[in-house]
Amino acid sequence: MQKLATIDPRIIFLLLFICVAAPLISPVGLPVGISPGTSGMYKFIEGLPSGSFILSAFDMSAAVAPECYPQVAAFTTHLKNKNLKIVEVAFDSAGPMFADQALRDVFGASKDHPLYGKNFVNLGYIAGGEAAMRSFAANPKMIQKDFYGKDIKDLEVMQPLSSAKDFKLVIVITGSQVDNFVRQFGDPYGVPIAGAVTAVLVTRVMPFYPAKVIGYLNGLRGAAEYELLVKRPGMALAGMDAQSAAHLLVIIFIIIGNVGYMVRKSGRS
Amino acid sequence: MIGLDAKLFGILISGGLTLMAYSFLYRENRAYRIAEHIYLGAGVGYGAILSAKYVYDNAWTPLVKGNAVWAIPLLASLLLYFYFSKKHFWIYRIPTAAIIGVGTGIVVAADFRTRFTEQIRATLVPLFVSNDPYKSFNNIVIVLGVVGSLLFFYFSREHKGPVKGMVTFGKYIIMITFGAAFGQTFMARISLIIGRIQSLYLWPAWILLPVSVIVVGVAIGWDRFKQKKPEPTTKK
Amino acid sequence: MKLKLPLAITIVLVLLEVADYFFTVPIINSIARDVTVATLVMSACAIGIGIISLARIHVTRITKKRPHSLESAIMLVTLAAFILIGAVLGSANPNYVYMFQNIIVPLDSTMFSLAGFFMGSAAYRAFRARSNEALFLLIAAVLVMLGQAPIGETLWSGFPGISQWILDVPNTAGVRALIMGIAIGMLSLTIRMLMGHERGYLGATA
Repeated sequence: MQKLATIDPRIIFLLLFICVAAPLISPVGLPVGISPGTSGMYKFIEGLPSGSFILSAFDMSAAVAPECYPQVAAFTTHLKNKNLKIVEVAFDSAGPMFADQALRDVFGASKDHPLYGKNFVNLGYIAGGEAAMRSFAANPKMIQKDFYGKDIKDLEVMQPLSSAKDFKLVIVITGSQVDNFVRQFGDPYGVPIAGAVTAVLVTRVMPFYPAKVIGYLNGLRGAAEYELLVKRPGMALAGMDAQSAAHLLVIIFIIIGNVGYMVRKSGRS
Repeated sequence: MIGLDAKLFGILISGGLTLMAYSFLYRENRAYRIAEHIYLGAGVGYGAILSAKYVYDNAWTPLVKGNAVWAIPLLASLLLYFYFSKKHFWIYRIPTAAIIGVGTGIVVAADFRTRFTEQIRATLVPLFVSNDPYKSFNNIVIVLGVVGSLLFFYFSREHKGPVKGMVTFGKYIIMITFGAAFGQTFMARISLIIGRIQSLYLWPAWILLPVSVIVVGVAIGWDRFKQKKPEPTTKK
Repeated sequence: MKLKLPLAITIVLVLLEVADYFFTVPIINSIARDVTVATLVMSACAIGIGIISLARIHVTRITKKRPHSLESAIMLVTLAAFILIGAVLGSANPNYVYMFQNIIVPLDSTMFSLAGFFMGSAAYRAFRARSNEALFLLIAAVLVMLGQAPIGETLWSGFPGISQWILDVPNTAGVRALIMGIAIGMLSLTIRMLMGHERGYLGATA
């Protein structure tokens, strides 16, 4: 028992690595249910009329890409299938790259696509954090050029937009907070918000759900659920068995650790 | 390398950098430090380019086209670099005060609505919903939980009497919140590990896995060898 | 003057932005919008301070031959490469995107993922139910982890429901109280700034 309590942490790291790696080589295929947050977001987008304007706001860094990018690919597929107009903007410097990658993965091309500028656009990075969000919400045409250097005046999809009110939904892709989007888009303009967030953030989204945040994707699990809903299985779904194995391992660790602690405690008393 | 195109080379680079960073799990070493410093340089350099692009497109280009008002923020930005002057450091405070003043004003005005009054409104739910005991129970827990959690952080008066009961309830609600936060945080970090390992399975990155096992094995063997061999003592 | 001028600027701009939020007066709204856009440009230019500070520290390390000077040299070369290549090719260039995807993305996510291993180790070595409060925390963590992974649903169909209930009800109550407290704290901090008591943002000598 004493040996188990003082085990080298590197052995624990190795066990965790094996537990995550093994199901990726040889998947089990456990079924994945749909949670209310994901279903809320899906149903809302499904109910939007064709041609509605959607804002995809990238407030994510490269660190959260393994969780957030599969979410982006899944919901952008849904937006494309529903023929909605997509305006992508980034409030983090890493955002434009992922916005560009999403367009290439879902539409096959970004700036060279014939519908670029008519049905979708990547506006690039706006510096300034929440001040930038406030300015953009007041006037989406505040910037001069998009990410690829095209003039805003030449982008047909931007012309009807005068404020955040013109968006039917703001999808926030973030690993930091959604409060700022609720403050600058949700409350002043009454625009519904959906969160494509890392799992860390879900506890902080809940106070705003479902009144301000109509739905949310819970990390990689949320991405897997959305992939199922849009029938586009991808990396998120492939990772669910590994997620299960890792969770089970840590729960076993917690149980072993506490059983050992209880035994030592009763031994001392 | 012959036959290796850019995509495969990129996969090798990203796999190699991933394994260099993961070597920290064995112990802190030079490979990890190199990866960390590459990360620092690349992140800052990339951020600088995106920021410069924003300034070029939205301030410099309109200024060059004749809109002279953009000279004001550009000149004010130059004042920021007095940060490095000991004698004229106070000039740096002027644009900083502007940035902080605007940022604070934007946040505080909206924050009190979003994170206070709207949250109070969301908490004002009916405690008894007819024909729905489950919803009634949930609403009671939410209302008492919010009040109890707020009281837990109220230190101006001693917690005694009925207040003590509420504070205890609030304390357990906060513990459940932290437990949920731990569970979600762990889930997030595992998702990142899954993402990295999925990228290591791509050809040719998976070749690096047995290579790194050999390298780590050699490192462990070398460590053990050095531990067993006593250091020669030198007479002074 | 050296302190009073920046404080006055902060106070005026905070009041301007608050007035812009609460009142629809065209002149105030217009000035606030222009000032906000101007500060966006200033915020973007501020990154230069970070670059110069970083370069100074690492160049000093190299010139004075301090430990880890090789790593510092590599950092400076990487920084210069990303800035020069980005300036010449442009940030939307496929080659620059290639550099971002194969250097920044793997390193950024790997650094964050290291915490997962340490959390697993902490769960084994330190996560103990030493009190009733810790027991509640542990049970909530275990239930949420079981509910959020597909294995939980396979073991028992009730786990996802319990996990969702924990997030929807007690977690909402707790986080709501925390963010209300933060909002009050934010307000009190702003009042302190308006009164000139909060000067940390003006530098250590303020």
